Amino acid sequence: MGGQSNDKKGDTFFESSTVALGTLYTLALLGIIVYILIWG
Amino acid sequence: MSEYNNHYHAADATRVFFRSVYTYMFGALAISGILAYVVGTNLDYFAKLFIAADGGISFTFWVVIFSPLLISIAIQWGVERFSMGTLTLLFIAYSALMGLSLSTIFIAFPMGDIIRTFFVSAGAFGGMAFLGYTTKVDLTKFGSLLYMLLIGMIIASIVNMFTKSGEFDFIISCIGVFVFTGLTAYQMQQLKAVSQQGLSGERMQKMSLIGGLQLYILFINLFLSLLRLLGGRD
Repeated sequence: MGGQSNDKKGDTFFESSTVALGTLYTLALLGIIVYILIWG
Repeated sequence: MSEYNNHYHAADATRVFFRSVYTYMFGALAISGILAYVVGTNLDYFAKLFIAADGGISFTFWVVIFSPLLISIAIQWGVERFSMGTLTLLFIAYSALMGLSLSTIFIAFPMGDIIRTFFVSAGAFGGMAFLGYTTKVDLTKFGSLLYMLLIGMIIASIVNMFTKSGEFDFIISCIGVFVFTGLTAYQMQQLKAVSQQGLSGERMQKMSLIGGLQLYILFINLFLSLLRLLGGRD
């Protein structure tokens, strides 16, 4: 997704990866829930 | 008069774009929420899907857990390459698989805590979305900082899967609430900027699908972070 005044390539990369990064964090959280709370 | 008309059309385009973004976001939330509830509250379904014959974790569990990540990468990569039909199918598959993954929270937390946390998350999300949409302050630098924090949190969460530290988990969840409320405001400002580019047709649909997914995943992560802080355990 385009930035307003964002011209740094690194920032654009992270912005465009919001869904993938967010999903990765969700899966890490669910992994903790499953390991510690259910099977732990 | 023509300046008034231009302003009117820009406002109209923004409204159409955000209506589409929210349709995708709430559509994904509905698909995930229904599947998570159906599987998470029915132990037979849950056991058949996620528990192997020997009592361990089934192969299906790993497929369900990791496939949303692959699909999210495919959607981000394919937004300029795939047709709208393909992206919509991937979007539905992603929401459904996330719903199956999220069914685990119904096993781990009491229903009352899940419902209460959902409404707290919805309030916080709505407030920050409104703030991000209306503020005149440029949140770009703030957004960059939050993305760095998010990457740190992902690494810390993976490490904590092995260390299993409750205090560390509490700190990560607190930072998570800050990061995901902040990113909601930042992302809304970014989406507002995109909506003012005068997009139309398939391009507008694709951008609103990505925008809807971004808001969806931010909401889910805010909800999970709050649930870990506010939720008791069954």
